Amino acid sequence: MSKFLRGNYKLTNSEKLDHDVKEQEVSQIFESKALEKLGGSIAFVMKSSKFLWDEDEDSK
Amino acid sequence: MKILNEQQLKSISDATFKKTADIGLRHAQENSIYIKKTIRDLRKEIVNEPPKPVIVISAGPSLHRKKSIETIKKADFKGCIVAVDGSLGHCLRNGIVPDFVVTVDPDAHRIIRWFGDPRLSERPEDDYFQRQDLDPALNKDEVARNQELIDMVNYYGPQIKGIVSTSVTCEITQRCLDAGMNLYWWNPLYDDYESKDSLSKKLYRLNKVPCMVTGGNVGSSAWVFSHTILNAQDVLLVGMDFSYPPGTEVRNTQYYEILQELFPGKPEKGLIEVYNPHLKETWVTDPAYYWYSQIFIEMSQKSPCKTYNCTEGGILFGGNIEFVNLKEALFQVLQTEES
Repeated sequence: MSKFLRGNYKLTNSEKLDHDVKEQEVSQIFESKALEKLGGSIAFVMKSSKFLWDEDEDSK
Repeated sequence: MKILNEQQLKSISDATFKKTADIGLRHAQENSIYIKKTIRDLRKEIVNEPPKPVIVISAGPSLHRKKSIETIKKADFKGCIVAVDGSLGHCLRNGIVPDFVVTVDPDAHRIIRWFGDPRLSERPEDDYFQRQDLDPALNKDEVARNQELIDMVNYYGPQIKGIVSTSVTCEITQRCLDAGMNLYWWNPLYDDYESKDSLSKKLYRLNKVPCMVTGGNVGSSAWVFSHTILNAQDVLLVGMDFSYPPGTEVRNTQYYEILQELFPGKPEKGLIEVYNPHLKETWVTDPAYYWYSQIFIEMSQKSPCKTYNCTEGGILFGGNIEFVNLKEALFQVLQTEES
């Protein structure tokens, strides 16, 4: 910026916009929101190594 | 899009629960009048039989590209064939009658196509099947192919056991019954059954049907069924790509409509590239399918069976999965049986 602006003031580093970082953060936020809308065919969950839960049979 | 991290995978998991749980519960209530036998009964029916190897026939693009059915027909395979709903038509058209067909997706209009849809002309307009490489036979002359499938499923139905999730629509249930299939029911495991407000526990207490881990999709469910209920010690997978071949256009992917909405003008931004070192090829997938592959790898490390991925394509490798050519795997399994 200072290359193009002439004057009696100086820009401080803390005011300098890091466009790349902002763009990356926006992209990540957008991707996260997008993933919340996608979904698989059916829910998935698994406890330890159990593939089948059959309460009545398990209690015998 | 880059490979997804843990948090992103959890987002898809949560989104899937939100998308499928309520509708699954509603369908379970509607299906309750049809429930006679469950996978618990099937387990008891086969308890005295020695476990056999199983081939799970999923419906990914490699099923057609690699002509897996032809290879299976030529082999002297004496085990069980478990087909997912999406591969049923391809199996029957090519001379394989599966022992079991698994179905789980609660979608109201699309899934019935895999069984032959008696109400095809009444469905909402949908280019889902024509856009994709799901089953090339569906791309031409839809109406005639559909009728052909209705006839084949009706003819072979009595030989096929339907492994039906309570989450499917009653239309699927009725279609399978009309085709003469014997049905064995299961509930998807939706959530932690030990939690206070567990949907799975509520569902179980409603219908007393065992809850099975799904892996998020019908192919993974079929694999779980194979080692958990059929007690298979060797499970071979075909058509389990969880991805699309190199060069696939985003328009030809399953979630194209959603990707268009999420990335307007650039839906390809939602696709993920995965290099398969066994194939030395880079395949393309979308976030949901990538999630399936990661779940499967995690499950393979907890399962008691030996899993051979004989798809010869796709992105499912690693974990406790042996990525191997189908002919070679069939030979290995046959050798094991004989010894």
